Amino acid sequence: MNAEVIGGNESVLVVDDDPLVRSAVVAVLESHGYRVLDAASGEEALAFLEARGKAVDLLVVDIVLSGMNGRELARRAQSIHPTKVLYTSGHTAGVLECHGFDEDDKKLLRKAFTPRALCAKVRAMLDEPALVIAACG
Amino acid sequence: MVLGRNDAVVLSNPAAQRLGIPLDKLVAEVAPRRQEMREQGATTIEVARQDALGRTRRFALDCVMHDGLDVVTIRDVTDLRGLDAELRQLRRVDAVGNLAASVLHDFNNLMTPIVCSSALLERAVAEQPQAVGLAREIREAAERAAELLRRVLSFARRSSVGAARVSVAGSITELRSLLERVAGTGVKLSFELGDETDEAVLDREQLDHALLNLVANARDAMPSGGKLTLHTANLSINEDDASEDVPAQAYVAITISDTGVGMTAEVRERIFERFFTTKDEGRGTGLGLTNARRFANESGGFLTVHSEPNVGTTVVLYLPRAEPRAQSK
Repeated sequence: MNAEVIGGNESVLVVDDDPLVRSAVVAVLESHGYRVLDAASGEEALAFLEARGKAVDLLVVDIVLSGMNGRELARRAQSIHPTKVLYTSGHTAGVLECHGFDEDDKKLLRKAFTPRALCAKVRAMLDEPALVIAACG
Repeated sequence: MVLGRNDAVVLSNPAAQRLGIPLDKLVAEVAPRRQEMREQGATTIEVARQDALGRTRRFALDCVMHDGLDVVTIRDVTDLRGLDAELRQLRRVDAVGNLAASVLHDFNNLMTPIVCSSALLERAVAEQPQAVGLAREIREAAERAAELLRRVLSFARRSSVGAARVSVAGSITELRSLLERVAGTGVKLSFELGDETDEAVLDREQLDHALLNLVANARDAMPSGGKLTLHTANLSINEDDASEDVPAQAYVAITISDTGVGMTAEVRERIFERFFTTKDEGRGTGLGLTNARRFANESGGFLTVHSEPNVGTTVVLYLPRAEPRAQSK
């Protein structure tokens, strides 16, 4: 990583059921200044968001989670507070398709990603006007 | 054919005579079981016999009693059984593909913390040059592994979309790192690719499979190393050079040549038989070259093989060249 990678100070909630992936993502984002929270499942993330009472700026969500999947989590999280969502996945295109994702989806980051790719994507999503996100669903 | 007493062939129709193996060889199979086949009515026995060319043919024999004679129906089921075996092979390939996809997912997850944490580590130990070097080595190796995974994934994920216009040289370039991996380190693989704008109408997935199989064959022909060349070029066959096998047309030709052990005339004779392989059990399926030829034929082209023992083998895929695109595009 070098100085070109831009960080931020927004709040990000990372949801991934693999603890190693989760802690790596948290570490990268924290080292770039973000206020990072994490959850191991959709259920845990929702409970957390309800208890928190205000929105996070970005959800970083693994698409295939045990229990509630990433899409479902995003839908329910957005019914609590409007939030931008970045999806991550290490699955092949076939599995992604089953979850309604095109592999070139702009809101999708394929694992294994580098810290640079993660930070670039997070920054790009946060900088996108909220209206556009809402319009695109 | 009709069998009389003493197991003599009383009568046989022209089809029975064209089977390519002497009927008395089949009679020898039926004779000891005539009684049993007749009594049980619907007993079919299946026998495998080699024909004059040494190829194994499979026959299904049924026997019914008619006017005191045994009427034996002979069906050549070689192709049918071949298809069964091919289907089983495809199912196995499919199962391995599914397994690979799930393993890839696990690896993608596992690579994420390695790629991310090594990058963070590199920054954290910035004051210690030796530690920075070590962390960078981990990061670079992890990034390369992740990149390799992505390439395997992009190969595995491409579902068959049927025939489309593709750049032949461009397709090979995209497949390059996988081809290099298949060729292995002992083989010097070189690419002599022609014009990227030369296109052919084909199924990209099948082209990839054909190339990977042909490169694997070349590698196996060079156990102690050698040189493998992938070459593409425009090739127009005019009316004078055309033959029944090679019609006059404009082609994009892909030539894969190795400096391996080559083939004897006997082996050369049989290479397009399904399931024929000279590789050890578990190494070869005997379908690679056959499928490559089928792919060429389905694309409107053809495949030729030239081989000389101890000199090497050259396989050429001739694919009909698509009409150049309009300049305005």
